[in-house]
Order: sequence, then structure tokens, then C-alpha cells
Amino acid sequence: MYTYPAPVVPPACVLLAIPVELVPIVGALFARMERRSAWSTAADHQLGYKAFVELQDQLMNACIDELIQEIRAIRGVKPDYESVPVDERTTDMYRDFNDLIGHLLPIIFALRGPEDIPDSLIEALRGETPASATRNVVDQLI
Amino acid sequence: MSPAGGLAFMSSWRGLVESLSDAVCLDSDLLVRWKETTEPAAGVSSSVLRQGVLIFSTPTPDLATIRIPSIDQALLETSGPYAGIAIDQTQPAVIALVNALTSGAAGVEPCDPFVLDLVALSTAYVELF
Repeated sequence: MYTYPAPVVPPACVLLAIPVELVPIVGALFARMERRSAWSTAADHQLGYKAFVELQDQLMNACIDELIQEIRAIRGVKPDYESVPVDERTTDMYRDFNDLIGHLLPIIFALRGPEDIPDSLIEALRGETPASATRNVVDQLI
Repeated sequence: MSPAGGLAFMSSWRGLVESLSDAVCLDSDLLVRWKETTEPAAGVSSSVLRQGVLIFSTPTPDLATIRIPSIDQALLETSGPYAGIAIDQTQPAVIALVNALTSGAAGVEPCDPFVLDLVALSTAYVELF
């Protein structure tokens, strides 16, 4: 019989990729922990029951696919690949963050006015120059 | 016996037993059994190792399971990433059971093992033991 373990502070978890065809078997393994006989006390059982039913629920969330789609949505698809169906796209069909910064720089420059932009600012925006207490992008924009 | 009658019986029975015991009664269960008088043959495709699991949200909020022995495989989804695994929640039999579990049937509303109401279906699929 198990005693429900003390939670880790700060909370931490493990991301586990389970092939979909194993979901019915893995779900059944988790289900064994719903039983009162698996736990030392009624309080342990209540905590354990909730935790293992939550795990069974997560098996149907296709969480990694959703995470990938969310990240790809942030990156945005390259114009040449907009006609490719979403489930057939590969990672190189999406913009990377350097592309995004490259698109944002002209907008920032346009908002700032016609003055010359110092190289140090461009390097900072591109992430090529680390910020410090005495040198940061905000200070140079003001 | 109605559910209310069953609870009244359990309450009075508990009192009779308590008067004979040094123990303190914390909870008691009432089992309602149903059994065929003549046992039919098992279904051709039935399996005690295959269960449908319906996972419901509860008010806390938490989750709770309801299990269906030998879930009919015709109720499983036939396309998508969970084909053959997920229970098709649009099937009338599934909708009827979910409604009965969340809204009650015959004057009884089910709850989870910790006496929390079942609020809404979160997910439903098959498990193999």
C-alpha cells in the first residue's frame, strides 16, 4: 500500500510521450491506483484517486501535438507553405524567431523616426549583444 | 425499496449495530444487487478485460471515473488519432447514460467515491486490463 507522497516545491512534472495505441493499456495501469486497497489511509486514497484519474484524463489530451501546434501558431507559417495542409507541414515550413525579429525591426525603426539607428541597438534587438544594467534596448530606444 | 427507503433502513440498522459495539461508525454502504435468475450465455464479443471509462468533472474541481464492463466496440470512434480507443460521445446510448449520471435518473443522482456530484463528461475511452 502507498502513502501519497508530499508534493515537490516548487511543483514539477515529467512530460512522457505515450504512443496512442498504448493508451488503453496504460490507462488500465493507472486505473489500478483508484482502488482503496492501493493506499494506506482514506486520505491517501482520496489524493491518489484524484491524481490517477487526472492522469487517465490526460491520456486523451494529445498534449504534445497541441503544444507543437501552439508553438507553430506563434511562429506563423511561411507564405510559400500556406496551402500545405496543417498535418502535412514540417518544422521548416514555419518562420523561426530570427525571421520574426527581422520583420519587427523595420516596424520599430519606422515608429522611432528618421534618425539613424545605432548598430548597438540592432545587435541588441537581434540578441547578439547581451543586455546589462547599463546597456539595454529600452534605454537606447528612449 | 426506494432509494430513500434504503437510506432509512441503513440508518436504523446502523444504530442497532452501534449499540452493540465500542467502535465509532464513520460511514456505511448500501449495496443494491441485481442478478438474472437464469444466467444467459456470455456475448460472443464480450470481454471482462475491456472496460469503457467515462471521466467526469466534479465540483471541487476534480475528476471521477465511471466504468462500463465490456464496452460495445461499435461505440468507439472509427477515425482520427483515437480511432478504436475513444468512445463516440455523439452516440445516443452514450448521451443517455451521461445525462442520467449528471442529471440523475429515477430520483437518484450518482456521485463519486467521495460524495461529489458528477458535473460533466470530460473524456471517454476504452481501457484494457
